[in-house]
Amino acid sequence: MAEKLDLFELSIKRGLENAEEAWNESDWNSMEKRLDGLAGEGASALGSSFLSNFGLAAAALAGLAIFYLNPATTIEEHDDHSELVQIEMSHDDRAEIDSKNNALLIDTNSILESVMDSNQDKAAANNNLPALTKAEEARIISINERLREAVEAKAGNNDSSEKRFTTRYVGKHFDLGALRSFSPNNDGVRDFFIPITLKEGDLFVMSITDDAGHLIFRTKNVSKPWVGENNAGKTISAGDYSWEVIVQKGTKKEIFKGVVTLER
Amino acid sequence: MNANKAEYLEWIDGCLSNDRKAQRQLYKEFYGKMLSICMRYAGDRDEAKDILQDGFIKVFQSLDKFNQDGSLEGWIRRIMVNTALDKIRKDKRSLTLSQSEDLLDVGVQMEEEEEDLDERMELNMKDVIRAMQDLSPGYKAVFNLYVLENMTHREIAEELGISEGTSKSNLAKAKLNLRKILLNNINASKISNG
Repeated sequence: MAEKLDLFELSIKRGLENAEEAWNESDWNSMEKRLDGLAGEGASALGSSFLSNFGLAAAALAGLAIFYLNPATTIEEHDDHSELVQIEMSHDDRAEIDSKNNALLIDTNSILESVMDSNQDKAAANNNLPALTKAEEARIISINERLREAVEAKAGNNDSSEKRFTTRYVGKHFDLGALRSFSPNNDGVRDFFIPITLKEGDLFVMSITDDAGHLIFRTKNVSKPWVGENNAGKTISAGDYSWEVIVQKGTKKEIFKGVVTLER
Repeated sequence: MNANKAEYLEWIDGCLSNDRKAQRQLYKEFYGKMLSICMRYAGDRDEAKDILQDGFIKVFQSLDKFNQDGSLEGWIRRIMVNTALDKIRKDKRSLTLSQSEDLLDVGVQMEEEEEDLDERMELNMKDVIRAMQDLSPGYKAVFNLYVLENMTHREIAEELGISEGTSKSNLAKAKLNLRKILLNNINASKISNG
């Protein structure tokens, strides 16, 4: 629910709400030119082929979908409202993700790895800049941005929450693809919390703390994610919790932090 | 806006088969309203038109995904707003940095002027839009989303990737700056009108 507006805000809102600019035919002319240009690009510029222009590679984990884009991806919508997402990786890898009811089902670690690899390649090309996280950040931001456009084109006016999470923007650091919220109710959708880019075998420790800074939960194993309980197995109530992941990469340690909302 | 729903559906059908005439009708129907929305997010009219054109391209390209039970205007509006926000997001820093030539420091003095402005709230909306264009992108985005898109600070924070606190302070500063700009305009016009 929106908060209550003050008088100043209200008067501006009222004034602007019905504002309308006058028609200008020459704007349509330039629009028409752009549409002609699009049609000339060959394939129909409509619908899912638009998505393929952006390309969409998807990685999914238990209902969470984080999408990574590449130039050769298509999304087909089926009559039963499921979707077939086809991803062509640059190394000719091909993954298919079938999704139903907005829950993507298949984990495609290989895609994540490919994305990571290409980041590292890029960083290497840039004279081994130590700022790898920056490259990752830029990559993820642009990925999210293009994803948002793709999802927007697909979902249009769909204001549902799964569209929201795709608009996540990373903060100062690449955030490991962590969920912003999860709801451990065993419905198969966002039932647990573990940053998605952590893989089996990674050396890391994730700590969850509450507002007061008390440690709630700690894990070193991706197959032991946070399911909304403390380490003793006691159920934790809904609310915002801080997470911190320390990843050991060779001799280097990287720290990632964020906030996750536990929903009940 | 004067067409009815049946006409909309007809146009949508036409647009889907890439019929220029239908595309023009749809474009013309929503042009005025959507351009005025884009104006609020843009720095000037040219930028607003860029947003409008990019937005309409997206509209045409994704019309097949439009849920025909929903409001077409609402759907197009959402696409426009998102297109505008994309532009702002591209310079992510602008969302958190405060306006360099911040027009005022504290709100004490504004408190007094506040009534002054509210009394004469017969604002010229053209002035308001111009004043909004002068706000920094971060202020502008938050003000638009909060006041005109009815979003909460929490939602805005999520949408723009900033903290709730930044959203709140951006709104407060946007309002202070808007008032200041508007008051200046009012005073200036008072002087010029004798």
